[in-house]
Amino acid sequence: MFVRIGYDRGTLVVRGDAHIPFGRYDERSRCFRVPAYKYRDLIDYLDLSGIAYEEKVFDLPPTPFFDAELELRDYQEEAVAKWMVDRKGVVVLPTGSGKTYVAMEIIRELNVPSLIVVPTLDLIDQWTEKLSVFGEISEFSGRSKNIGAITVTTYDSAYINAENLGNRFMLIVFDEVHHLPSESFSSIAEMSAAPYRLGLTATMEREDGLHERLPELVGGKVFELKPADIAGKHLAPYTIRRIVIPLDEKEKRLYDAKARVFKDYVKKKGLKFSSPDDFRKIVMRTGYDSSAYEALRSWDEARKIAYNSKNKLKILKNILEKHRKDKIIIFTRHNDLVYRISKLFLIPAITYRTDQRERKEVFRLFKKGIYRAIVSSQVLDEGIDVPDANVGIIMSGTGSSREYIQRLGRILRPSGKKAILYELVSAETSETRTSLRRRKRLGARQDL
Amino acid sequence: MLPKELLDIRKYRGKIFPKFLKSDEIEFAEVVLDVYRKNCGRKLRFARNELKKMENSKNYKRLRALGRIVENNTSFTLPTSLPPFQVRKFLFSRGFVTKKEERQKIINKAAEKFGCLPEEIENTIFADLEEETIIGKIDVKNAEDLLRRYNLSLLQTTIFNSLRMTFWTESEHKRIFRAVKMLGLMYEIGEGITLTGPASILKQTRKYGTSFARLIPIIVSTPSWWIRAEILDEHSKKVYRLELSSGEVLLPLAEPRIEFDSSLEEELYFRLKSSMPGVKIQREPEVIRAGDFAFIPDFKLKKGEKEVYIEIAGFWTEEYLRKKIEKVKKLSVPLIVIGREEISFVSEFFIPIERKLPFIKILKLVNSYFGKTDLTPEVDLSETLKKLRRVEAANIANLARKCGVEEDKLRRKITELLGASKMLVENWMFDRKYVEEVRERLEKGLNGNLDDLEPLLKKDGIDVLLDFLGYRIVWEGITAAKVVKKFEVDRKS
Repeated sequence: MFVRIGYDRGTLVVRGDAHIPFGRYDERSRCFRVPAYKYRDLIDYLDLSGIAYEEKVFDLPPTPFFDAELELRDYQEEAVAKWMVDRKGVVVLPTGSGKTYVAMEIIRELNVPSLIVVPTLDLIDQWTEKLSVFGEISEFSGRSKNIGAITVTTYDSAYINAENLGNRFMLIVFDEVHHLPSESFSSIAEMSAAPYRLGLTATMEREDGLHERLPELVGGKVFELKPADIAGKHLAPYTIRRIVIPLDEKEKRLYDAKARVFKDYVKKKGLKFSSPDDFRKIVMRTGYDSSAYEALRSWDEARKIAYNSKNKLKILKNILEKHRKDKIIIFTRHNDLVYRISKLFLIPAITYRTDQRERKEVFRLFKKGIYRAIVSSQVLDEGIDVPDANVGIIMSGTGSSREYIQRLGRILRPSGKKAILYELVSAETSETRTSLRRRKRLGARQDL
Repeated sequence: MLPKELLDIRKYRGKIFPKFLKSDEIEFAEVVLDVYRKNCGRKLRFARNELKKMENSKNYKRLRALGRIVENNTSFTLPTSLPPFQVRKFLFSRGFVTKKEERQKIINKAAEKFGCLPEEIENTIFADLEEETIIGKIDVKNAEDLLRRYNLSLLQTTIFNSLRMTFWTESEHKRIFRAVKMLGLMYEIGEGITLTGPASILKQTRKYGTSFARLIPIIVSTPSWWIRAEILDEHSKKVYRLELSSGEVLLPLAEPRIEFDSSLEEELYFRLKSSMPGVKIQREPEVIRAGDFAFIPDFKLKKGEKEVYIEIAGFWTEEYLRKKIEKVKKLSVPLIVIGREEISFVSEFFIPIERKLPFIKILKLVNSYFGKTDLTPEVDLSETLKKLRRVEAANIANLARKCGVEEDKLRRKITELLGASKMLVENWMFDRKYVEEVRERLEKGLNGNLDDLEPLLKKDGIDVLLDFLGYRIVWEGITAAKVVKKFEVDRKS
């Protein structure tokens, strides 16, 4: 028995006289077709069955010797060692604990063509800067399309080009790997034949449960640390201060009225909120059920009142005055509030609409200490190094514990100062429950 | 294309129906376009707010989607002459502030620095945000144009979630197949062309939906088409069928365009067209299944029941041909191949290409196949005239166009050869016997047998003939009519 294995647009094509598992026979092109990510399984199967094969899957960029010495912390070393056992799997480390170095050490040891997939262009820049100890780093993104021995790309670009990137690398690293199992992004992993796979994240779990696909796509969890495990030693010691703030009278009245519309609707329809799916059911109804539409609109308005209350701004003012000497990041749920705070307090704003040039400029001036604070909606939640910040103020947010942990992580890079995270919550509103939900998974630490 | 939360569809019994705007729903497009036009020169947020006030559970998807399409086709300008980025940098470098007086001081400083009023500084801080910019030129012709663009976006957005798509078009095959190849899709030819991607057999995937959607504008720009697609519902994971064909929905009007692969093709097309009237010439007429691959000939010539394909094989390599030739030879319709001498083995109908298009040779071959030896590009009217002998009435202009001959020439020929039995009245040719018949029946009609007249009134060219015979139809209501002598009408009035 003899087969030839090739790569065709995100799949492995096997021709020959032997039967091939893991895939299907494809009438369209008269061959066996196997998902690319089954490459390792397929080779193992052929070896074990004693089937001779010719393998022409990879088209690899030339790879120099990655000549660099890295000094790792003990837990980083341990993570690398655990991953090396099967050269597959997810490493869970808190934000600010140096996940990048774990990946770099693995890249260095394997010394094979490597693709690093990250969520944003900012993160491409950040990774590129760190990886440059290995020599020239290529970027494959909307702004540049180069492929080299070490290439950094975004999830979006990797998804669009999954069929062409799938056979160009031996190692694929997914930064913030919790993004990967979404229906579309998962094809980046599925269409890649790379036998070595590393996932990095601070929290693997997704609310939609799709993280269950990670073991199949990159491998299971091989190492995990929680913020509390290393706080004080490798991360700044921190305090969380939750401040419950009443709405003013006018807001309260409006809030109650709006919230009532929603509650009545839910009651009338006998809905229970045990999963995000229930909420989606209401959204689905808005197209034909005008009371569902009204209910949802009221709910959204009520939430905005709670999230953006006037009293929160007063408290914010006090906190800002108290931390004149510190570096502060203010987090909000909605962009409107970002711009309001920015205008009111003259604090630079960063949202997904801020262009790359301005974003860089803001970070630069923040690092230099010319800007003392930054206000942002979601973009700062993830990955980007914001140096030296030691005060975080959550004006509003989602119920996601990932977002919460990431926001906390933003102020935990060791700076010699004690970190403090304020969480502002409107009293007697649904926000108290949102706040409860987001803090659920933080580990041992409680409010101080 | 639209964000998925604006996808307005209905699902019923396993089928999916995008809620296309129909011509009697143009009001939606009118209202939205009006809002933006009315707010031209003002900040975008005014238009958006106004639109938002009109939303209700029934229309919000449409209104938002229509608004989005207008915005995508509008140019915006900044509401200030100051550079917002520089102003921000100036202000924020002096922040942050927590007191009003503190803030005002910095604003005033900025006003001084940029040479303007403090209010203008306030206005500039986020002047470059989308909703703060000024609505400029709106590049949407009218409400109908907007409606058509909306329908196309809605169709494409529906197709986004497609697992596989089958379609058929009357033309543009080469262009479509070029695109299919570029998009990395796979096709199968059966009833229509079925598109999938390499991974489709391994997993129900919507990965190729975007690529299918990109083909939609080309497909729907052809005069006649149909599409069937399997659409995966994200949440229920059920598969719904989408079925749509030309004429069922208002879509952007195709810009008339004929695109040729080579100047040779173009030359051949126009020369065939001018010298072979009476022969139907189709460009890239159909996709022929030849074994595993699709073959699209450049032209199909059709005369009566007889058909022949023509292919200019400019880029065919010998290797390619050896692989495909057996299959091409099995085609049920003969293929004339025009190409380099070396590839003469491909077809019994082979014409070697010279320095220029061997047009006369092509014409000879085509004509001999269609059973005619006349080599001059002169139009042969004998067939037409023969047929005309049995015709009661015929419109000369239409007939001339159909035969590809000048009207005058056709008139001359008719008078010359059929003058005894036919007569020409204005733009029409009538059989003399037929004219007499009509005259007789009209006389009867005048005597009151109106029922007899009805079939007569449906005949071709009857208006012209009545006028010629000195009668006029007087309509009484919608269905009833009577024929009166002209002078009677004149007398009455």
